[in-house]
Amino acid sequence: MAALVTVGSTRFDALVDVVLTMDCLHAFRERGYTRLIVQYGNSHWTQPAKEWVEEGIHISAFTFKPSLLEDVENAALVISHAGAGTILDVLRAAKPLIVIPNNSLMDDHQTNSPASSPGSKPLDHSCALFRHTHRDLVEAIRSLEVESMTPFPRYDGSRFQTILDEEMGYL
Amino acid sequence: MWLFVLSLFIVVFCLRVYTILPKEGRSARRNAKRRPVDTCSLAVFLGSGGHTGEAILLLSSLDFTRYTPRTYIISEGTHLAPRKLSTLKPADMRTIPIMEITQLYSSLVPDVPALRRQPFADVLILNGPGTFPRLPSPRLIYVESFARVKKLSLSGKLLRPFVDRFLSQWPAPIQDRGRGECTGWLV
Repeated sequence: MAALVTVGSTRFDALVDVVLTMDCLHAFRERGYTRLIVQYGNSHWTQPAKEWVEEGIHISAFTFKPSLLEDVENAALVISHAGAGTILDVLRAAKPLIVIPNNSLMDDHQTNSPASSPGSKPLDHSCALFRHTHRDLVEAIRSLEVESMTPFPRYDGSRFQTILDEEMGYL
Repeated sequence: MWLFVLSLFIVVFCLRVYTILPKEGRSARRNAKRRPVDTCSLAVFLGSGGHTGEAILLLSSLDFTRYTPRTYIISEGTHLAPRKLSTLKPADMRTIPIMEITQLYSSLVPDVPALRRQPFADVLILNGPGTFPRLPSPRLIYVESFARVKKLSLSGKLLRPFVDRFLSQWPAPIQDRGRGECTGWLV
């Protein structure tokens, strides 16, 4: 069982650091994860290797890939920065998701994202689990209850098509 | 940061000029009915990182035989955008003229006569934040990012008065009764 950690196209040192702590690796192992894939983008990389085994977990790391969809498909859990694109990709793949807003970005815009609305109605029923900071990530992994989550509604492309058709005089 | 704010201000000013000057022509086009067989050219401004994915998904449901040709405008610094574009169907890629505006910030003096020239598309779609249109188009549709749950982005706030349709995917950002409509999730 694999867990995927992704920081998208940005830099998120705090997230990369916390997932590699002993506490976090223990939490992964307790929950039955044997593989950890870390896409660290432009974050700093302090480990001597990109691939190693620690605490019984096979860890592999890389900076970027053209598409993460395959890794998302293969993962049983995704831990992500609060990027809109990543959140959408993971929700549509119906995978459990823990989101950590990256407070270092411009305008602090990620704390304004769906990740900052744990009480917001629609996302309460989605397969996403949101956390505010990297500090409670270990607790989030330990207490994750995937079985109680329901999948995000399917993408409905007709909405935007209707708006555009109406605007451009087709309707 | 200052360059960013200055650019944004000038962009908004250009749009303002554009929305005021050819007012009559614009209203006439607004009500123009299109037949189902008519085509409509479309341009989309791709902002940064994840918003590129959102914009591509937004367009993926459209009837591409109707909305053609499609121009994807990529700003400098959007490194992931071309890779994301490559996830579109190969057949589709051939029909897309990809326009790279590498010097988006280079000209800070608005060229008003240029704004009155032949529009480059029938409709320009902006999926904020981080989208700064400097090119004219008869219809401007701004779609606030799915990620904006409570507050509008800076681009959204600034462009709100100047676009033809302002769409928010969540109710809270437009609860101030300003312009715009809540459409629910579009992506």
